[in-house]
Amino acid sequence: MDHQTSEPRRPMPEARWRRAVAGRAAFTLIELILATAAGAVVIVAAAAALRVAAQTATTGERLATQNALIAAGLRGAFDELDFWTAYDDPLDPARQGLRYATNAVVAPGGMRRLGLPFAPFSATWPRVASADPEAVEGWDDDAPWDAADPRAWWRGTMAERLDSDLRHGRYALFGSCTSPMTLAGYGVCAPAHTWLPRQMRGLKDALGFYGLCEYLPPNAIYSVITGEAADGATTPGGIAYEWVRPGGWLANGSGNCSNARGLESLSFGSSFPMHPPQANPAWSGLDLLQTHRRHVLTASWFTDTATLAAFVDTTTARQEIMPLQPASWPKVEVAVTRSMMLRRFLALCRVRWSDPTTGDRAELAFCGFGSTLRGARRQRGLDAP
Amino acid sequence: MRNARRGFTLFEVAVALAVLTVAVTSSLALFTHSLRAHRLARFQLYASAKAVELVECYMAGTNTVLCVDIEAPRPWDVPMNYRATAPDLEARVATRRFGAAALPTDIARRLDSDGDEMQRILDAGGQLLYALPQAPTAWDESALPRNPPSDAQSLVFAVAGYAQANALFSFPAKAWPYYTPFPGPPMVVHHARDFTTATGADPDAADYVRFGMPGMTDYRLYLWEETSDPDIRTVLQWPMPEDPQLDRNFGWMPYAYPRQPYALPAVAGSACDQPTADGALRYVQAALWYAQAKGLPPSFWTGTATLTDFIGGDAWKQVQAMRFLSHAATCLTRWHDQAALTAGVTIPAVDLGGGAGMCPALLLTEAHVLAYEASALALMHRYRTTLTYDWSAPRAYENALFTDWPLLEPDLFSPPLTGTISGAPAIAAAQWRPIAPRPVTGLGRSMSHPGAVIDPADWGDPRHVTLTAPFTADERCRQLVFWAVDWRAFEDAETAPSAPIDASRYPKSAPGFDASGSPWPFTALMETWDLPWVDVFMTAFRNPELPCVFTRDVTAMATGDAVAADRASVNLFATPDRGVAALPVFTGAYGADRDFDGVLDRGPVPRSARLRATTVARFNFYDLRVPFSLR
Repeated sequence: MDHQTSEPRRPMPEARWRRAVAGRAAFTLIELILATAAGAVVIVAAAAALRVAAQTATTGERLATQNALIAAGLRGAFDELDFWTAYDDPLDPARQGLRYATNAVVAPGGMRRLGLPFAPFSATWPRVASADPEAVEGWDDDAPWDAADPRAWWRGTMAERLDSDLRHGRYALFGSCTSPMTLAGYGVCAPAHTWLPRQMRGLKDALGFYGLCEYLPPNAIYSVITGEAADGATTPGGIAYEWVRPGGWLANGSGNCSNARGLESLSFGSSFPMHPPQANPAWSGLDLLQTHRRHVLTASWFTDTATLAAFVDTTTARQEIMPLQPASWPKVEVAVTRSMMLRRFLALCRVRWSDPTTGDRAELAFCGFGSTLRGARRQRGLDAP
Repeated sequence: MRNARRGFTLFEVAVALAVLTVAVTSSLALFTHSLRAHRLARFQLYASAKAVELVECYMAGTNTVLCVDIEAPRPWDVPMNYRATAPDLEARVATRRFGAAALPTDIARRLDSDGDEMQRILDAGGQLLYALPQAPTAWDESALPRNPPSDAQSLVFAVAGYAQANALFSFPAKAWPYYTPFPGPPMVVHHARDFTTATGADPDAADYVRFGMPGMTDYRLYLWEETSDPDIRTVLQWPMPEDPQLDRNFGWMPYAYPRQPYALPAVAGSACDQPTADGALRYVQAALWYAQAKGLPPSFWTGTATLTDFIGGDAWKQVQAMRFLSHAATCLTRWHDQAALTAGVTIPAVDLGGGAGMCPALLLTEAHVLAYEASALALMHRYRTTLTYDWSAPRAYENALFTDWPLLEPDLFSPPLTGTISGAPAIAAAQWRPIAPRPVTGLGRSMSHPGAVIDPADWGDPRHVTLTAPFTADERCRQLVFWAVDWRAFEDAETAPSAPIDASRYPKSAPGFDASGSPWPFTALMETWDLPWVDVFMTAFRNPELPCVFTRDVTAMATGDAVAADRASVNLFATPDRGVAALPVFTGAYGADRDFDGVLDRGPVPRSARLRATTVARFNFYDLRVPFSLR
């Protein structure tokens, strides 16, 4: 050892050095190539995985956002079906445009107290109590409309037309809005039954045509006899033209029928609309009074694409889900269209979305059911006398 | 030392990479799974909306099918009471007006699902349905504004569980209830040219009332009601054949339509169909005669108090007598003013001639007129509410709050009725017998086929009635199953023919007779002579894909070509699918523009491939037991 430690260092012999260096050799070219390739695979795989993961995460997030917004849209549609807030927002007086009522002439006849579908009965058709059940005026929300109650039986003639010569006789003797009533060529009669015709006239004036059809029983016959000038022209038997005149505002011209008729015939090929006020901001209260008292021909054999499109447009309440949202989020709109055609009270819901990132547009359209107009009015206490 | 310091071997590196790959792949799989979960959530939203819509359509859809024959002597000769009008959810909503159609069988058979449920439903005779592209509004599809594509079309749904035995939509031999105004005259049938007589003979035979409506002299009216009560003829027209001298005729027709066939002198500038006071009086006399002929006591017509209950005897006779009497008496108010009626109008007793005998006399006052009308409605209401299964008298329109739809159902436990199809005697037919909870009395004849006797022996065993029996939900539970599958990706998504259509969806005519009294051949019934197809009422009939079906073979057209003009036009009277020659259109043999985008679409998936559907949602329900609408 001493010898070794005391002996001065000598250079390693070349052969030994070579062996030593060989034992610590660097990567061979093949190793380098393999290592580089493996590294590249790892890097590429990792990058691809990261990219896919990022894309997937983005897509997932986008889908989740879309789903959340569509679900919100669906909830909005179902809420609208149940609560009618697009037509009348009970918490926002500025969005209660269908509560308008006024004395107006917007239909054949004279000045009458007319209301829109959410006008309270207390403003349009106040209750007048009476010991005589036939003389009760106004809407009674608790009245059962008992099938056995003679007040609820329609009294008129389904055979009388506009050009009637009264060969079927004078049915004003049995029921009329007016009692006593003067019948030309006959005398003054006192119809015993005034409640049902007054209910029908009252609902028409207070709510418009959609509300009239919804409040009346499904099998109702649509005509009333009246002796009051404000109800406009009548047939010789006293049936107000407004109820039966073909091509008028209530009755369509189907078959040129001018008889009293049921709801199916009344709405054959034509619709009674519900117009949300915000869809028609240019319309005044009087305009709305008028449009809620006109049928619209919506069947293809009666109308054209433009008319139908305008009808759909003016009866649709649109609501954007989350108006304030990140620009990259999908835009979701809920549209609910309400009308009545062929005896069916239609509530068409459309949840429509467009993705600003992908440009995709799609919609989910379905017809739903929920509260009736009467139910919505009861939610707001509008049917109280 | 040298071993400890050496690098990884290639093997180790490979193993490490494999581990890394598995880890990365697993992570990616999680992402994919997450995406699938999002997609599933999306389709669950769609399914919930479509389920709401199906319920709405099921419950709110009109039950009326006005422009289809609904009566025939044998139950298999009209489409009613077959599958098309059954109160089963899939039968009711799988129509073009209620938003669903059957997926083409060619495509449905290429779909796989958990437990092979789809194929099992198909094997059991069910159908896979898809949502039509537009919500079921009853508005004309082609007139509606173009909407974004409906994503809900990727949903496929079906009803799992067997259809149940429920109420008949209507009684095919007689579509009861019949309605008529109260007060009102006897019911006559308009458009009576093709109705059968008792012998199938010439409709101009004497048992037809040969009256024309003003301006419509070629339309004969048939007095249906006399098939069950011959006395009613007197209220409509007596004598019969009519006397050429008008004032020797009694009843409603000679009063209201005194133009034909009476030999009246021509009146310049007049249609000569003006009623008269004398005519009204003779109508009252006929009505009084009827009340007397029904054995009712004089107090029935002499009293001025409202009758709210029956006075003994047959209820239907009192209902009918008061219906006619009130109508005839009201007609007098056209001719006599209040002063005259208060004093009373003398109705003399006269012999109506023709062997009828005398009618009673009466001093008829306004009080009588008022009492008759009130009694007519009151007796009718009592009659229909207490004697629901007595069909002797038609029901009143005026009771708007009440209807007495009879509870009828098929008897599944008795041998069915058998026979042959009208016009095709070589083809055998069978149908379940009807049963009712109570025996039907006053069955009479039908309005459409008064010559055909409704044989009481055709009824089934009333002990088999189930409609009024209580049941628990699980006894009748069925399931609405939704799947998600992009069936529109198939190359033949729009060129595949429609699924087979139940034959009952073809609105064929009921049997009729030609002018020689020979029955129409089957092809005539299929061409539906004299039966217009009015689209808007035929909600339960025709191909559910009708708005989309092609009217010609489009297979040679290029993908993306416009096909809007090749779709069947659905309009009020448009019938591109009617008749034997149009059967390819009726059956959808040429395929359909199933997304209604107006261009021919072909997906990338070949028809040799199969697609797997993902189960999205299930909803339990049970079918309506009786047809009704929810409002």
